[in-house]
Amino acid sequence: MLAAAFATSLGLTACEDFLDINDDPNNPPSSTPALTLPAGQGEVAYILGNQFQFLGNFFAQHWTQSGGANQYCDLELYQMTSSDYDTRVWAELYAGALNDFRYVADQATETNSPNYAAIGQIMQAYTFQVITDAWGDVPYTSALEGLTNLNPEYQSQEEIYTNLIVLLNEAIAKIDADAPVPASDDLIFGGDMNLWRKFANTLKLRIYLRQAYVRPDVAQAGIQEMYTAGAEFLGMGETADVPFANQTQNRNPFFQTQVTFRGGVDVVASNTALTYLQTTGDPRLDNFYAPAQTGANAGTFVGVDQGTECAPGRTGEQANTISKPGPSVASATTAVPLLTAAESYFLQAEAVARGWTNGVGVPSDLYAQGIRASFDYVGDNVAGVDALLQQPDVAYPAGGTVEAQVERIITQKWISFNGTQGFEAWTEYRRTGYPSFIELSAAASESVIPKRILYPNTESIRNQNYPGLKELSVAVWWDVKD
Amino acid sequence: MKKSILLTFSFVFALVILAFAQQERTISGTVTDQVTGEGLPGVSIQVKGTTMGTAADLDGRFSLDVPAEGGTLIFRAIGYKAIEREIGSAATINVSLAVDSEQLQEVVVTALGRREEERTLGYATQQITSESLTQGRDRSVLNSLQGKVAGVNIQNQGGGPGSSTRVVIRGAKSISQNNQALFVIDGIPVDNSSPNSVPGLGDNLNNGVDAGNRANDINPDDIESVNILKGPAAAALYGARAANGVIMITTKSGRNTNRKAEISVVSSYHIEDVLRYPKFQNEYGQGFFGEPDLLENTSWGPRFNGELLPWGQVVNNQQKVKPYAALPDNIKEFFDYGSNMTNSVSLSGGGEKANYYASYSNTRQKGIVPTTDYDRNTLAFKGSANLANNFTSAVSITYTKSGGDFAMTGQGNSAFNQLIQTPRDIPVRELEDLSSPFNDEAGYYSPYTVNPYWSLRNQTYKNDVDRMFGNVNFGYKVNEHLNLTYRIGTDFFTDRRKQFMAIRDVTGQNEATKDNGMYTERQIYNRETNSDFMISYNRDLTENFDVQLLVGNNINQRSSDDLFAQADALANNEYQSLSNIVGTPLVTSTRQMRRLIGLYGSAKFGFRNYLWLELTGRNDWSSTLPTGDNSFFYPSVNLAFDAASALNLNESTPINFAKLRANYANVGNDALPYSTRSVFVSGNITDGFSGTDLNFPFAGIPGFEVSNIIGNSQLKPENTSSWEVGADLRLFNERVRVDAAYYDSKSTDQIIEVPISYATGFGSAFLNAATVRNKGVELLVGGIIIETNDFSWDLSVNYTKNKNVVEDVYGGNEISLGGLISASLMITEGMPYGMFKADDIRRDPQGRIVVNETTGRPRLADEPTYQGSIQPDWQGGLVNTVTYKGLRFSIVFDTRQGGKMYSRTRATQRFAGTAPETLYNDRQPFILPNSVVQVGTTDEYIENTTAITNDNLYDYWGNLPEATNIIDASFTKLREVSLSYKLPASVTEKTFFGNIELGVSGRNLLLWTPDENTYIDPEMNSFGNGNLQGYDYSGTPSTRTWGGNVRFTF
Repeated sequence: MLAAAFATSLGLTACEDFLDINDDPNNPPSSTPALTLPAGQGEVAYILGNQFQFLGNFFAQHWTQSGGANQYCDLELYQMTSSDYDTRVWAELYAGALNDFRYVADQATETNSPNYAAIGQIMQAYTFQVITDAWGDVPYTSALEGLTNLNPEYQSQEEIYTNLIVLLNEAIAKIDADAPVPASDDLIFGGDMNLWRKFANTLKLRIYLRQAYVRPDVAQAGIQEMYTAGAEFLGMGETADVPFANQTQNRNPFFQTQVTFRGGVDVVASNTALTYLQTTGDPRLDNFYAPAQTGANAGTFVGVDQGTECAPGRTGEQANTISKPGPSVASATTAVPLLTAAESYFLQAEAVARGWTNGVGVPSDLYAQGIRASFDYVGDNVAGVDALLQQPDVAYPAGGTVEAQVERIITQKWISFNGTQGFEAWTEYRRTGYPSFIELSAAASESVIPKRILYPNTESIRNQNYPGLKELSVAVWWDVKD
Repeated sequence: MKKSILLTFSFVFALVILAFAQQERTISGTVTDQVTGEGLPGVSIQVKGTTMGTAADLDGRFSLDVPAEGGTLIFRAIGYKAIEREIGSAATINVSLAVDSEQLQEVVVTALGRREEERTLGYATQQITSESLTQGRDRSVLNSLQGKVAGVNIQNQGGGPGSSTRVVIRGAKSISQNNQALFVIDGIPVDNSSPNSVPGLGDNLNNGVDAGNRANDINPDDIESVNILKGPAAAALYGARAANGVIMITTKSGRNTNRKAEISVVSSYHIEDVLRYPKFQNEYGQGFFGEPDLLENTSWGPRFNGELLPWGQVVNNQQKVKPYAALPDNIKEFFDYGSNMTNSVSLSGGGEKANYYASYSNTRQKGIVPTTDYDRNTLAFKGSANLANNFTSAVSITYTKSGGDFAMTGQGNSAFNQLIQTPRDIPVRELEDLSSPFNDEAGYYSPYTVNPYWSLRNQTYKNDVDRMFGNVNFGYKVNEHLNLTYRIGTDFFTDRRKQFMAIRDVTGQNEATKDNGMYTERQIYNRETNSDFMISYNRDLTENFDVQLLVGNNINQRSSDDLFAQADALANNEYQSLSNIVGTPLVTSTRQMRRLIGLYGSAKFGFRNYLWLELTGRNDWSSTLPTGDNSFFYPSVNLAFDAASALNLNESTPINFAKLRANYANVGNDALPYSTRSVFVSGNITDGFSGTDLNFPFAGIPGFEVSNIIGNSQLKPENTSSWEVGADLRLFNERVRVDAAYYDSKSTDQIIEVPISYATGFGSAFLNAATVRNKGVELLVGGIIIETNDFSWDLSVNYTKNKNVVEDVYGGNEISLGGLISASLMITEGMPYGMFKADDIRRDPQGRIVVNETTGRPRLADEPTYQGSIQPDWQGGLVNTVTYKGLRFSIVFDTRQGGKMYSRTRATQRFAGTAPETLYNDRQPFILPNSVVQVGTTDEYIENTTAITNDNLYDYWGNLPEATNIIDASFTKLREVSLSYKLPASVTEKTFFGNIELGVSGRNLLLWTPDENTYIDPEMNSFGNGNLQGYDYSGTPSTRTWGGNVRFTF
C-alpha cells in the first residue's frame, strides 16, 4: 500500500522529472569541428581506399581477379548493379563525409574559426568532385538540406563543376594565418594551412583539366587566372593522404578487406600494368606488386590478362601463384592518398603542355618531377628516375603534338596511381582514353569499359527527382573524347 | 493534469458513500459447492429487488441484513447456476450451488487480470483451454495456438531448436514499432522480445541466428488458459501497447484441488525431421560451363554418365573416386532426426485460506541440423492466501533457464547455404569426418564453399538465458462493494551470447576460405517493471442496474543494457574467450530506458443482466515523447447485448445464446526512446564484410559524425482508432455456434524513421509519417455435431480475412522495412503493408522480354517494380475434436492463401544449377522465348536471335533478377493431430494414481503449397520475428514432429 501511495503521488507530483530520461545515454548531443573533421576525412579515405580502390584499379587494369576465387568478377564483367555503390558508398559520401564537412564548415563559421571553415569547404569540394565523377549529374546545390529538401534535385555536372571552383575560391579566401589551426584532428595535413591552400589550388587544377576536352575555353581561362595570381601547388613530399594504423578496425581498408578478410585470394596483378612496368624497366614494380609466392613462377612477377579468370577458359590459378598487390599498396598502414605530389606535377605538366599557363613551366621538367614524386611516395630511390626517363616509352616527347605529350603524361600518371588511386586512374582514363593500350576485359559483357556508376537504388526509391537509369555505358558530361 | 485526476478520485469517493443502506434484521448461512461440499468464497448474495447484498467470505459463510418482511435471496457466482431462496422467517439459509458447465466456459480473464463473464463483454475474445493448448506437445505456447484462433496470425520462423514465433492479431499496424500482441501473465505484462543476432557482424544476411523470442520461456504445462483479447477495445486499459491486442495467460493455481495435494506429471517425447526439402535436378553434376570442374560448388557440369571418376582434391598423392552419378538424397542425408523431450511435474494444493501451485519442467530439444540444441528448465511457484482483516495476498514467480546451440543462417558460411549449393553428385555425408584429410579446411573439395560440417563444429553460436518474472498482489476489501488492489510485477532476463568462429589457416586450393577467426560475447539485460494500483467498486444500484467502476494508476519502466565485445582475430583455436585475441577487442554498449505513467478508469453499467455498457479512458505520460508535450488521452466504449436473455429466445426459438457486441476504441502510443533529438555518433564506416570497418577512435583520434538520423522534438503520439461489431450465436443446445466480427482500425500519425535520400545529408528522420488501415472479418463457425453420453464430435472452423492498406506515407514516400537491396519489403502508399519491390526483367510495351543483343540474356528493368505483398488474402483453420469415453482425438488444419515471399533457396538453386528448372531445353543453347532486342535507344523492338549458349547458361540462371525469386506463399498444413486416452476411473482407483492419460501427437505433418513453390515452407522467415517477414534466406528448414506423451496425477 505504501508503494502504491508512493507510486501514485509520484505520478502526480514528480511526473515530469520522472519522465525526463529521454536523452540518449549512448551518443553525444553535440560535437565540435575538431571532433567531426577527422570522421569526415576518414570516411572519404575509406571509400577511396576500399570500394573505389577495387573499382578503379580493376577498370584501370592495375588489378584483376585471380582464378582461385570470383568475388570481383562483376567488375570484370562490367555488371555492377544499382545496389553496389549505394548504402555504403553514395550514402557514406553524402550523409557521412559531406554532411560532416558541412557541419565543420557551418559550425566553424559560427564560432569564428575560419581555418576549420576553409578545410570543411575544401573537403566538400573534393568529395563532390569524386561523387560527380562517379555518377555524373547529382544533387549539389539542393543537397545536404535535411528535412528542408527531401527530394534534392539533380544538377548537371557542368553546373557542379562551375560551382566547385566558386566553393574552393571561397574556402581559400577564408584561410587566415592568424586564426587557430587544427592539430592532429586534421588527419591530412595536421593543420598546416599553407598545405591546405596548395591542396585547394591543385584540386582546382584537377577540376579545370577535367574539362579540357568539353570546355577547353573555361579550363584554359581558369588555369591562366591561377597562374596569373601565382598559385602554388602541392610539391614533393606534400602528398595529401590519410594514414592508417595497425590496430583493430583502423587498418588500411583494402588490406582489411582483401588481405585479411578475403585472405588475399582475389586481387592479383593485371598484365596490362605489369607488362608496362616490365617493358619500361620501372623499379616501382616491386613496390606495386609482390612476386608470386608459390608455384612454378614463385619469386617472379607474373600477372593475369584482364578478366580472363572470369571468362570461359579460365585457368583457376590460385592467387598465390600470381603477383598480388605489393608492399606500398597492401599493408596495414598504407595511407590512402587524396591528391599526391606526383599527381600535382602531372597536372601542372599537362596544363603547361596545353599552353594554358601563360608560358610558365617546362612540361618535361614537371613530368619528370611527377615521376620522382611517385618514386618518393612509394619509397623507391628517386635517382632511378633518370634511367627510366631514357626508356623510349617513358621519355617525354618534347617536340610532339600536345596530344602526344598529354598521352605520355597521363600514362605515367596512370602508373603512379597503381593500387592507391584507382578511382582517379579510371577517371582520367575516361577523360583522355589513356593509356591507349587498355582493352576490354576478357569477361566483358558490354562493349565499353564502364563510363559511370549506376545511380543508387535508394535514390530511385527515396528521391522523387531521381532522373532514371543511366547505363554504365553512358558517358558523363566531361567525357567527350573518344 | 492534476485537476483531472482529483476529479476522478472524488467521483469514486462519492460512490463509496452510497454503500450504506437501511437495515432491519440479520440472517446468515453458508454457500457450498454442490459437488465438493466445500465453502464457496465470493458468492454474491442479494435481496431481490433491493440494493441489499453481500458476498460470501472465504469459507462461503455470509451474513446479511434483510428487510424484516423477508423476500428472496439470489445467490450468484461466476461459473455456477444462480439460485433463488425465499427468506421467510429463517435466520439461517444454507445453499449449495451447481456448476453451470455452459457458463463456466464463459468466464474469461480480461484486461488487468479481471475475471468477467464473456457475455457481458462488448468486444471479441477467444479462449483456449489448457487441454487444447498442450495436446500437440509443442514447447512453444504460441505455436500451440496455431490454427485455433480467428484473427490471429501465428508464424513459427524456422526449424531451429528454440526458434522464434511471431504473433500478430488483426493485421500489422505499426511500421517501425512492434506489431506483436502484448503478453500478459496473471495480469502483468511480460517481455516477448527477440533480440536480434550479433550487431557489428553485418546483419542477418550474413550470419543470422534465430535465438528465439522470450515467450519461449513459458512452460505450456503451467498454463490454465489463454485468452486472446483481439481488438484495441478489449485491451485499452493496458495502454499504448494494447493496440496490437493481448495474449492473456492465466497460470494454474491450487484452487481446485479439494484441499488435498495433487502431483501431476507430464512426459513427452517427439521426433522431428525436415518438413520440406527443395526439389533437385538429378541429371547434371559438378562443373562449370558444361565442363567437369572438381573445385566447383555448382552443378553446371556435364550430364551424368555413371563413369567411375576421381573427385575432390589430390591429397598426399591420393584422390577419391566415385561414380559420376546423381545422389538424389545427398542433401537429405545431411539432416538428423531431431527430438524434443519434455518432462514437467507440478505440485498443487489448497486449503480454505491458502493455496499453492509449484512446478518444474525440463525441455530438451535436439535440432535437425547436427550440433544444434535447445534446453529449457522452468521453475514456477504461485500461492495465494486470504488473510484476516479482509486482506488478500498472492505471489507468483517463475524462473526460467534456457539456452541453446544454434546454427548460423544466411549467405555466409551457414550450413544450409553451403548445402543447397552442393553439386548433385557429392556425397554430403562423406564430408562429416573432419579428421579425414579430404574433408578438413585444406582438403575439402571446393574453395568456394566451406564444409558444412566444419561450419557447424567450428562456427558456433550459443546462448544462456536466465529469466525471472513474477508479481506480488495485495488486495484489501474495504467493504462488500469496494476493493483496493496493488500489484507490482517485474520481469527481467539476462541473455549471454557467445559466438565463435575458428581460425581457418588454409593454404593451397582453399586459400580463399582463410579466416582470422572471431569471438564475440554479448550480454543483454532487459527489465520491465509494472506497478498498478486499482480501486474497484461494484454494486447493484437497483434491481435493474448494476455498476462496476475501476480507477487505476500504472507505472511502467522498461530498460535494457546491451554490452558487446568482439575479438576480430583470434590467437588460436584452443579456447573461446575475449582474451584469445590478436589486437584490441571492439567493445560497444547500448543502454535504453523508457518510462510511462498511466491513469485509467472504466465504468461498466449492466442493465437487467442483458445489456452492458462499458466506458474506459486512459491518459498516459511517456518519457519518449517531447518533454512538456508527452501526455495523451484515449477513450473506448463497448456495448454487449445478450439478446437471448433479453428476449427469452431460448424459450421460443432454437437460439440458446445470442450476443451482439459493438465497440469503438482509441489507443495512443508513444515513440521509440531517444527519437526526439539528433545526436552525433562515433565514426564507423563499413563495406559490409565483417571486421573491415574503419572505427573511431582512429589511431587514438576520436571522431564523431553527424548521425544519419534526424531527431524530432515535435513528435506527436501515434494513434489507433478502431470500431468493431460482432455477434455470438448458439443454437440447438450448442449444436451450432457462430461467432462473427467485423472490424476497422486505422493507425495514424505513426512515428517512423522515414528513410530519406542520402543526398539530403541524412538517411532517415523521425516523423509522424504514416497511416495504416486494417479492415477485416473473423468468423468462427462450429458446433457439436454429435453428442451422446459416451461420444461427442465437435467441429469448428475459423476464417480470417484482413485487408490492409497503407493509406498515407509522408510526402508520398516509401519506407523500406528492410530485406535485400534488390528485393526489399516496402511500405508504400495505396498498397498493403509489406510490398516486395525488386529488380525485374525488362519488358517491352507488349510484355516481351527485352534481352541484351550480345548475350541473349534479359536486361534489367530501369527501376525495381512491385511484386506483391506478404499479406495473405485470407487464412483459416479447422479444428475437429472427437471424444469417446476416455479417448480424445483432435485434428487441426491451418491454411493461409495468398501473399508472397522471397526465396533465396530458389535463387541459390538456380545459381548452383540444382533447380529442376535449370534442365530447360536439356541445357542446350536456346533463344529465350518471347524475347526481343531494343534497337538502340528507340522504341523499336525486334525479335531476338541471340541464343543463350552453354557458356552463359550459368550467367542466365544465376543472374535472373530477384523479382523472379518471389513466389506464392500460400500453404495448407496439417497442423496438429493428437490422440489421447484417459484410463477409466475404475482402473485408476485401484492404483495410487488419480489420473492416467496416454497420448500420441504430431505437428506440421503435411504441407501443401502451390506448384511453383518446390523450395521451402512458406511459414519460415530468416529475419526473426520482427516486422520484416517473408524472406527465406538460407535459414534452418522447418520441421514436422511426432511422438507420444503420458500424463498422470497422484
